[in-house]
Amino acid sequence: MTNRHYWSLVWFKAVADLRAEAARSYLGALWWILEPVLYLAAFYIVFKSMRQSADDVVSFLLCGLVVWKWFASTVMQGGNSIIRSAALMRQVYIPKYVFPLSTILANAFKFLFVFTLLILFLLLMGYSPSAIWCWLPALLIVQFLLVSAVALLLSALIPFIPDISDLLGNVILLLFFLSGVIFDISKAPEAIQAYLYLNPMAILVEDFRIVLVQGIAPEPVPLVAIALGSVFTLGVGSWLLLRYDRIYPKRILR
Amino acid sequence: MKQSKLALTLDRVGVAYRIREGLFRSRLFWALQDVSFDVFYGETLGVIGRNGAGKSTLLRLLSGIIAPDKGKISTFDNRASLLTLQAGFIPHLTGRENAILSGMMLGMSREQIMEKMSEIAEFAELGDFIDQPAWTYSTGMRVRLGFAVAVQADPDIILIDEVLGVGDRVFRRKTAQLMQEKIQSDKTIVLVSHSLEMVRQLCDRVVWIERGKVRMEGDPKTVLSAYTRA
Repeated sequence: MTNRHYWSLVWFKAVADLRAEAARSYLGALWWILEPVLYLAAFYIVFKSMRQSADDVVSFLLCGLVVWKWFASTVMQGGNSIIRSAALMRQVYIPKYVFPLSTILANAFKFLFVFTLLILFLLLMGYSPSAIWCWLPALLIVQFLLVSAVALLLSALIPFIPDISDLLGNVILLLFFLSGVIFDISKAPEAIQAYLYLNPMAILVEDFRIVLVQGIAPEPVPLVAIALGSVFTLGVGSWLLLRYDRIYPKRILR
Repeated sequence: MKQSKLALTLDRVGVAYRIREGLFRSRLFWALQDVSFDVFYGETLGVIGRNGAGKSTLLRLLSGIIAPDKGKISTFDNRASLLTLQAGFIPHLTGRENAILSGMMLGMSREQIMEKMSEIAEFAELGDFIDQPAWTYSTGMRVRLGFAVAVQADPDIILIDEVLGVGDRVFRRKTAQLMQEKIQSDKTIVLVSHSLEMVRQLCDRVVWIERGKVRMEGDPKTVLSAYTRA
């Protein structure tokens, strides 16, 4: 069968998974909005009770959370996508890249939906679009490359080292606190700043935030570095997935 | 004789699984070793063997799900696939959506499935339920839909792992009849079964597998009588 067939399967499976997810609960797709909003509410309450500043905190947190959520959910679901498809792999031959790719795609759809709402919210809050917003497509592409690369590589490794899957939740939680979602890294002590910026998500969270909220252009060099690193990682992940395509079922079946 | 052209050959094929025995220790378990046999166009080949003989591994090998660790398998560009019911079904999707998804998993294009949709719905006896979510279906309905889709996939070589007895009595008769037609037609079929009676009735040739090796190969009468004596 042709690659074209499997790409259309990737697409259809992504849409089908989204549709199934929407059909699973009473509120359906509304949860895609409610989830980040509730998430935000929790942090807002905590922050509000700690210090008095308010409105800026909302947009600050919301930007970070929306961007972070895209990374976290794609990596969690994408990383486990092959081992979750064990039953299917036992029955039919499907190239393994189909599983992570459809998850990556479904999560990207969902993100774009929530991101659009974020933009609307910011406009409502009185932020006005500026020429700096032209950076957004570039940021979106770089982050798409990054989340795809991490998810694809993990999906290729987890069948061989299932322990990664157990660790993943903890690592994601740790990264959440290190990525500057709930604090401003540029205001952190200089000594640790350099280390924190080694984390690509810290850079992206900050870049989305300064572009959207502060109207400041991001530094291009780190973004290019992230993009190149991601493309390289994508290459490694794809190579593994193709190389071990017919080995994975043997690893997961038993 | 219709046994002329090769549809598939296995040449000294071995499949090993890695079994972990400790933190960094593992050993290889050879589920199949040194298996050689041919499948010819249009024939129905039966595969028999006791539990754990390597039959499931063999089916996964023939359908291309796993690759051999030793030896060679040639399919001459034929597409071999397991007759699979409900591959990739998602309970929250409708019957129609599941038919498309499952059909695509089995190698059909979306357009092909849409074209056959009324045929699928009719064969599965779903009526208006085709647009209801699959979780509202009875087990029978799900199985019927699965079968209706799987039958449409129609690969060059059909691998069957005892699925002939699905659904209620009426549907069973319908599926049995359909399978009979396929078997008697020029379809190439590999049938793995515990039912010696079924193998005797349907197969042109039989391969007997034991402990990952071919113990015997030949016409059903000879192989089956040797098998029952063993």
